[in-house]
Amino acid sequence: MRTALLIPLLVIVGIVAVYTIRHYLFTLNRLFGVQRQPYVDIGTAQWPAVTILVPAHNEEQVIGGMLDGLLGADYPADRLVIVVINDRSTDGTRTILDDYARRFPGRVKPRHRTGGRPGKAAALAEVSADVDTEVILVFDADYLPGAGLIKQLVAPFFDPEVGAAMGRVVPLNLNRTLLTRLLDLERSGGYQVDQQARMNLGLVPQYGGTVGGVRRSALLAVGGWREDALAEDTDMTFRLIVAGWQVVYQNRSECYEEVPENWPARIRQIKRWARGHNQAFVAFGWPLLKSIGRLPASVVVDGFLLLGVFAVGPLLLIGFALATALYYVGFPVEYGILPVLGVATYSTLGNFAAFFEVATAARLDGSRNRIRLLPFLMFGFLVSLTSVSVATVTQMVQAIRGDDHHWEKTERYRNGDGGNGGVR
Amino acid sequence: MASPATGSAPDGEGVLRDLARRGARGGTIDPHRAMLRLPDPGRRLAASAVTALIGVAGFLLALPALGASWTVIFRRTHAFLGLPGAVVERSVMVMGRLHFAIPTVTFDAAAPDGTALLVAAVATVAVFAASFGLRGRLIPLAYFVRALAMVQATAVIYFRFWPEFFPYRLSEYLVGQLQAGLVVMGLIPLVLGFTFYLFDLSLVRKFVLTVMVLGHLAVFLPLLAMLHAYLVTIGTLVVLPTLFLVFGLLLHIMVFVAFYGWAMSWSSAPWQEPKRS
Repeated sequence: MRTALLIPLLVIVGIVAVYTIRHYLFTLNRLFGVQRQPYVDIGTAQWPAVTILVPAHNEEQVIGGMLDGLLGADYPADRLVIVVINDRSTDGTRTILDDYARRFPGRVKPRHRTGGRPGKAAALAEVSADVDTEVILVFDADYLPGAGLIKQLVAPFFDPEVGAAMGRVVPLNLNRTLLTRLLDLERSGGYQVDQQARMNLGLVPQYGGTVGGVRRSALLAVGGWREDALAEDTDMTFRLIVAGWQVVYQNRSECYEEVPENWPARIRQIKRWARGHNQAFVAFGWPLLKSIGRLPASVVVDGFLLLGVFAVGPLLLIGFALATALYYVGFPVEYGILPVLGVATYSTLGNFAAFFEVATAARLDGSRNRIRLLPFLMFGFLVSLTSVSVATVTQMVQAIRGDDHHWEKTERYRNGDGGNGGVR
Repeated sequence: MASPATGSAPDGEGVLRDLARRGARGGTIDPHRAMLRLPDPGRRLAASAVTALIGVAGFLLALPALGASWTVIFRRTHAFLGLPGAVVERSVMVMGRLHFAIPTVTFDAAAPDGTALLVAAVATVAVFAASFGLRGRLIPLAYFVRALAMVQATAVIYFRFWPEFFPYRLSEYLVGQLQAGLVVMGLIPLVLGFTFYLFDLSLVRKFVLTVMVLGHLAVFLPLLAMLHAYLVTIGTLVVLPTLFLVFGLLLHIMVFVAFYGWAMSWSSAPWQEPKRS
């Protein structure tokens, strides 16, 4: 009985240890490594024609600010077309878009979707088929791009091996609630450390579906956007990687977004991410492993760990359940001190590397005071862990029953107050 | 802008580096936060490792005194709480050489009877149900309370069906808690060494943080153990699993993370702060 509990527990401890080491090595690399940002200095060039796609569903609160930002971009106006995909909005989004189209003819082109499959992936798939520029950038409707951002995001595509590029997402509304503060810390760790370390090490920076773009020829080569993808960004990242394209990250290219201001919205968001990631794990886990030899082993390993990141949540819960059961049957003394130490370390300091990563990122950001909120991240982790596990189990049940998924959109809160936008 | 990452001692090389970053009117153009990093990784890692090992060695040397102080705390708390039995010392050996004693108690708590189980079950259900009243900003707290209730539910179920198999006695539990606490304390200098000492903070601040965390645990561990003993005595063994699984090491780690977060918000040493333009 004890052995039956201990062996799977130690396997889970081992998996968590791998992720812990990964977090730690990424943080060390970000702290001490050479920061690889090969395209950020390109300022003068024969800039290519670009199409910016902005999927929008009931975005009347934010879409105006987004369009103003894009129209003010430092990019040749005759080579920049903004296509806002109005996906069945029932608020004032359509009116606002038509007004912009009238005021900026040829530069703002709304596409009003009234049929077809709903959701971001389906909207992108439908409209991308009509795009004829080599570079396609994608922004969410609540983002506020700076003037220099478009050039920074287009620059990587001068490298013919680059299939997708991604910039940094920075929360704008961080001072609204404790949740927005915690999400600011998480985003900081994820971009300032995780993504940049992957870029430094030549691993798999993730194309995040916004503040970034794809090369049209690469998109066509891998079969375009998958309409049924729950996370079209993760799906695209791995299709490009498996096909041999480069995905690059630009830490310098910051864009400001709204993060959820209340917990129900956050829970819905992370559940959607988990389902999308799990779908990508099933779709690309094996193809990625088969690519070893054709792709560098480090890329395959990092990609596999990235794909599995949302599976760690349910594993952790199973680990806690096993540890609890083991507690009730009594720990087997005959196994010695090492398993005890392993389990104790896992259940106590096992996730400390994540705190190190977040604190390092916030310190690099010059946001030292925010690090004092670090212990509250534990509560955020608990909510995320539970939500991701529930989403995973629900997804498995739905897959068995053959149910279709429902797209859930993140709420908007545009309120005009500053946050990270004023940091530097 | 406050950053840990661009500074250097004002040597010749540092002066040249500063001149290269001169902006308008003699101000300094700081690197963008996307480009910042810490210099001298080899020196930092080596210095951090050495400092951490010195910390661990210091902790090991302090173990006998720590054990003795815990015995004092146990005896005073035992008298203050009016607990039965007595406080005794248990010999412990570390790394096969270092012998010292840690305290425990001579009494054991009772297993829950039918009434105690019923009270625990009703309280567990009530707490779980009440968690659904925690909404809005309190949702994380609701999740925590539900987790707590589920852990307590496992204890109620266990003692309802298999009370004779419960493998822990209070005296052994207290020894285990203190030993686990010692493991955590021993890991603290190492964890800080490779996550905190790396940054541009003065040696004094690194020392102060380490002493603060260890000092806190040195006092808190025995007090918490005796609080557990008191709660188990009045609440029977049915509360022990929750105390162990939720309010044991996990609590210490949360406090450690709070210390760590606070310390990571400290400013760098003055000569290592980037100059403002």
